[in-house]
Amino acid sequence: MKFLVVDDSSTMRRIVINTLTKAGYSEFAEAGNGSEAVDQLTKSPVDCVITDWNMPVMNGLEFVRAMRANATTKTVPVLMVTTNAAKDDILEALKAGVNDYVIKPFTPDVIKAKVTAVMCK
Amino acid sequence: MSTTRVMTEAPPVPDHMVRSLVESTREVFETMLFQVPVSHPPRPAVSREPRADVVATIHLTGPCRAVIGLYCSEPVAKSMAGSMLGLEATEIGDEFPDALGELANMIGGSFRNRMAEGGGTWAISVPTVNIGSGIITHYPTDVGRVICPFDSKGGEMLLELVLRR
Repeated sequence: MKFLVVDDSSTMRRIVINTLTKAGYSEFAEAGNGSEAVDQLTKSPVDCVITDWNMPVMNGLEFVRAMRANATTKTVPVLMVTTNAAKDDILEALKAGVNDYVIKPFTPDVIKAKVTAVMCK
Repeated sequence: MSTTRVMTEAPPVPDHMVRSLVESTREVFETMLFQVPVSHPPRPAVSREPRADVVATIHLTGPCRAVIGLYCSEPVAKSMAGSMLGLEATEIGDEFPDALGELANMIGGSFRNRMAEGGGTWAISVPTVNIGSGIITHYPTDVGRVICPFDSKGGEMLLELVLRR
């Protein structure tokens, strides 16, 4: 199973990858913003996307909308990891096509549980 | 010819905002750094303090404008980055500014979410990190400033809350 981890912070990408590696996953691709992530997806398909919201160039919401508009990435599960916790933000993200939502800071167990949940949906 | 002298007065920083910053910092340290920082009583900031070698800053706007600054030494910054990444401080190189920025982002985000519970819409900036020697951030005199000292696993760090009118 391959993940695409999208975050402008290399630290946060490593935290997510470390957490998922401990959970038994081993294949990852990385991108620093939504535009890089779109490029990554055209080169190589993934099974699940984990993306931040607030990023330069193309933010997470724009990226997810671009994914959902593309026939090949339309159904790929997306987990959004962000500090935005307002109800309106969560609704906007779900409306854009995000499958589930994790609010930072998070514990490793939360990420693992949410990844399992979006993959099962 | 007469002149009118405009008196400026620093706005007080409400206790609930200071408490929220302390609670946000504890929450981020406990969940992302797997350590419990020891907090010391907050104090008003005086001129030319805090002073540090690494400063991570994040701005918030909403019902009022605020700035959160995280001040520490480079060894403490590397220790915190190491805790976030599951590495020893000695294994941390040029990645510590990114880690400090993300730390400030999460503390600011948690603080923003706590503030939003009281009403109003809050927005948060992207974090900036400055590295140097004895960095001081200068603010106008009409801002309210409070310093919240903490002892982390790697040593002392200071969180500053700056409130603008």
